[in-house]
Amino acid sequence: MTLTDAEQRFMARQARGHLATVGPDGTPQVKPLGFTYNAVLGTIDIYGYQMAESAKYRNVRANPHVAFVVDEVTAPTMEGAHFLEIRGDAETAVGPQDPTGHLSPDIIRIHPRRVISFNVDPAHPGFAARDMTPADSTEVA
Amino acid sequence: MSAFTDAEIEFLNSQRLGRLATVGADDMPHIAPVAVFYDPEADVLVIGANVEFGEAVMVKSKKFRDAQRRPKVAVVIDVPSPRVLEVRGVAETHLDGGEEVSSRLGAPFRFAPAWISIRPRRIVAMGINGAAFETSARDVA
Repeated sequence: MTLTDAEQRFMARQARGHLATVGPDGTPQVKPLGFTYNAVLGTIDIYGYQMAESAKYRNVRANPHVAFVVDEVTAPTMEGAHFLEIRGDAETAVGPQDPTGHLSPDIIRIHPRRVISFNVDPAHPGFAARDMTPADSTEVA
Repeated sequence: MSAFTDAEIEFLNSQRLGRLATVGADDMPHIAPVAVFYDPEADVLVIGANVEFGEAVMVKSKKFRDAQRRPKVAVVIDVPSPRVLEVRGVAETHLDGGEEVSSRLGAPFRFAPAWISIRPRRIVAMGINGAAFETSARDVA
């Protein structure tokens, strides 16, 4: 397990996140995407339309370093800003078939290496960061 | 002539929230929610942070330090309809002048002294210049 219960609850409330990958010339690329937390593997699984044809998918295959953020603004104050950023290494994988048939079964799977949060756990408001090792999430060959 | 189309400028002016991707010294990307403004005089995007969150809120941030070291960045502004405007470009970091910039751009809050401008190099738009889901991508410099 890589994310705390509070982090998982925060993610589950948000419909979309934003993924940054790095292109061949070192320029980042950033897009809004749907996602799920894979509690079995401890990974973030990212879904999209025509995923395997996308630049982000090609980027990940060439350079696995990614950053993903889920955020929410509940008030125009410091206390009203909430975000969870996950930096990690991604692999491409095949997920379960989307029942609506709209999304590609090809996914980007992020193994978290560093988790940074701000006002995510109501019991511990403010900033928090921690590192994790490859053993915290499970690689599937 | 602007690097942006009229529809893109109208979209930029209708939104405040974007997500900025930078790349760190360790080659890991970083992604953060930010306030994005269009500067019609310089034809650049401007990222400013609310000075109420502290004078050093921008200059001490990871995104600012990353952009100082590696100016290749990307920012995306999007709404779920979906309309997506992604701008990849070259960032310039400014240590002061933020207050003047925020007042010149009519920003709803006063910027901290440090701010970032982004000169577009590639613009990727979906659902903005044409029909829903219609995507366009072009190099602008």
